[in-house]
Amino acid sequence: MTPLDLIRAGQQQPMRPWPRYLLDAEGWRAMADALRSDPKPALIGLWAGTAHVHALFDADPSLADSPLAGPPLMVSAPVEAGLYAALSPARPAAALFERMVQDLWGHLAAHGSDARPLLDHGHWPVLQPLSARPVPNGAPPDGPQPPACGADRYYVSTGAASGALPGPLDLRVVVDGDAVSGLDCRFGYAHCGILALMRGKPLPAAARLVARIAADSTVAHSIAFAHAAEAALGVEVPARAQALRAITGALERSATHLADLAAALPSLPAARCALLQEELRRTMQAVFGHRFMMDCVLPGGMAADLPPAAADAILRTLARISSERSGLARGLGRVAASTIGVADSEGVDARLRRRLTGIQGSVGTVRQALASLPSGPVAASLPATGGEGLGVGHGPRGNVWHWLCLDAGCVTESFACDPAWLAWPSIDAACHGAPLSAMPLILRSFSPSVAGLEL
Amino acid sequence: MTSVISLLLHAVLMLGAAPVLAAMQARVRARLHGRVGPPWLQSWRDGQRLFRKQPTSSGATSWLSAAAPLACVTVLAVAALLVPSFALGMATAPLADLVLLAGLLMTDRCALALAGYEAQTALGGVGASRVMLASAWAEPATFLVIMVTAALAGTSNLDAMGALLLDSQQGLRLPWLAAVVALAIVGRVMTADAAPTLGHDPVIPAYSGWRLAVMHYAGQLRTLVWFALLASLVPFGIAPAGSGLAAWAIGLLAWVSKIGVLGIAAALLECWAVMPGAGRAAALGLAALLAFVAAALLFASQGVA
Repeated sequence: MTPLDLIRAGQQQPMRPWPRYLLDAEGWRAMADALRSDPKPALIGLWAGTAHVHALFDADPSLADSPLAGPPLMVSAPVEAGLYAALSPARPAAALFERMVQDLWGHLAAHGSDARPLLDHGHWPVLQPLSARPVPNGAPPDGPQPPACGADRYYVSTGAASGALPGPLDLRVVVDGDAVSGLDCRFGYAHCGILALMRGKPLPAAARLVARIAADSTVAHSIAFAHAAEAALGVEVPARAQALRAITGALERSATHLADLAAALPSLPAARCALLQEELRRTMQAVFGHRFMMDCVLPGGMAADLPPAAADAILRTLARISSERSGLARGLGRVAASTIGVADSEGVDARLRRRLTGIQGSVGTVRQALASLPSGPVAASLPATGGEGLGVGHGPRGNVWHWLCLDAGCVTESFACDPAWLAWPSIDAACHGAPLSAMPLILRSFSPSVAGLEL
Repeated sequence: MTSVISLLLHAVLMLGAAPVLAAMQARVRARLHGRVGPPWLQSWRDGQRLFRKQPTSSGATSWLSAAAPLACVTVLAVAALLVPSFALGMATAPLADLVLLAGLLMTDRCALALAGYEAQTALGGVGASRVMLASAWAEPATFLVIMVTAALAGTSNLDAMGALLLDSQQGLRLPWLAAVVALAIVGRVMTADAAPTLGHDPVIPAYSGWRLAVMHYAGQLRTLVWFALLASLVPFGIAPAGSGLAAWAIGLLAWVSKIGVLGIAAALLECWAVMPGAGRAAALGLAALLAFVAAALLFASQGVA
């Protein structure tokens, strides 16, 4: 049987807007085996609860943006004796998730490809903080622990405080001579324990925490969380709020794409991108009250309506961005020329071009939404009931997924799945064979988020 | 007597102009980006701030970690004293040999590589290997250029070459120009800010306090020595040996404008031309090829087998 059939054979749990399928441990193991032979279902995320493990799949990623795209499939299974069948042999991207599950919930992945801790460096006051019975940390190591190096592997490591990336990350490049053979990063320096903090909080407080997971995708995280909460409670958001959410999401995507291009392009186009990004951020500060539009999207709608002259200010800034587009395209051409002969140069070029077209698309979305903005309220009241919901937000680096369990208006279980979880294994695959001097450009073309992964 | 006075003035000029040249290049780059740029005295202020701080280093470093910055700056200061700027016939004129200068620059590069190893990080080692790799390409190109210019001028002494160029019109001959262009490419690559690997300056990361200030100053001196070397190979306007203050003033003006042109050109190149790692090796190879072509042209024209 295909893995999708195995998933759909499970018991349907009341999650909104799509059902969650509950399998038993044997069914999960069968699904993990079936995934080895069927490459189509793509893993979006893997996380856990106190007694269950959950996975989210995209049934057919080739249909991603078409009308034929099916709903995402969320499947759960109970964890027996602290073990569950690992998905990492079939889906290598699951390795990071399984390490995170081990650190936070203590569930071990049987036959997983990587059993090292991801976020836990041994200094937490409590081990396995999200498990049913967290264990106090009896033996924290004395000082910073040098990470274990495999034999015959040479690392070039930047250390966590290098400032090379936006976020503390020990970026360890595995080299073989001058060629990179992989990336083996040491995460965990930016872990804030947001999931543990969100437990038991009422929705508004939890929304504030969610907005602070990753600053440059704060609107996407807030939208995904709001969708999950509204789906769980069965609330319909007014049309004006939906349009404003589309506008804020598109503006955030443009600003983050401009920032990413400013980091990746050579000096003159990069300076133009940086200036455009700054102008966009100042417009967002003037219109929404915050340069990154943090706390503007809330469950139920928006925090506030647009002020009177907002649409003109936004359209002026967007006009400036559109007028610079040809100059930026030329700058991209120069980057492409300079990377000829570097491994993965088509990938770097494609990713940077995707950002430029993303900016264009976002600008068009905002213009369209502002032209046809419906009137009405911008927020709906939320009942203090319970439920379970899954929500998605379109962020600058991919789709953000939020899963939420509510009880009497407070959060019991949740997870925030940032696209960074899937980006880091892609970077590892993309930099195979590249010379070490090409690493900065490859990294900047992905512009991966550190905070989104670290929670 | 005048030779000693001109040497002292030259020393003050060279050692003081290095940070000013760096500030000018930074301001040109910033203007191209649409920014104002750092103030002229920024290097001075940075140096003051760094000297106030206590240097920290890994416990396993040796005496080299203090010696390498001093070695770099000493060697480069000696090279700066030797290259003529506004006047020929300084007290150090007999020592101003191109081969000696190439050797001094090579010593500076070796000290830089040793400093990279002393950093005891993988990135320091990467930077050191990059410096030596660039050096492996730059040395043959430099010596080919020295051979061409020495064969044309009959001597490898910079001072004597300058005097000869002032007298005759040798400077307009094709092999000379090709050799100067080749040397310019080598100098451009060797003084370009190394593309940071993974966001770090590869060689300097482990330095702090006064050692970092000295390394920064050595970098500025390195750029100035290369520019002054190129300017002295095109010595129009330089004051001949034994001339007076008026000629020195004209020489100073000519030198400042030459260095200014070179500095602005280097800053423009940095903004307009992306030069990743492979490009640097290609540029150095091009320089070596150009110098070789210059030598071939020279020998073909002079009939020397």
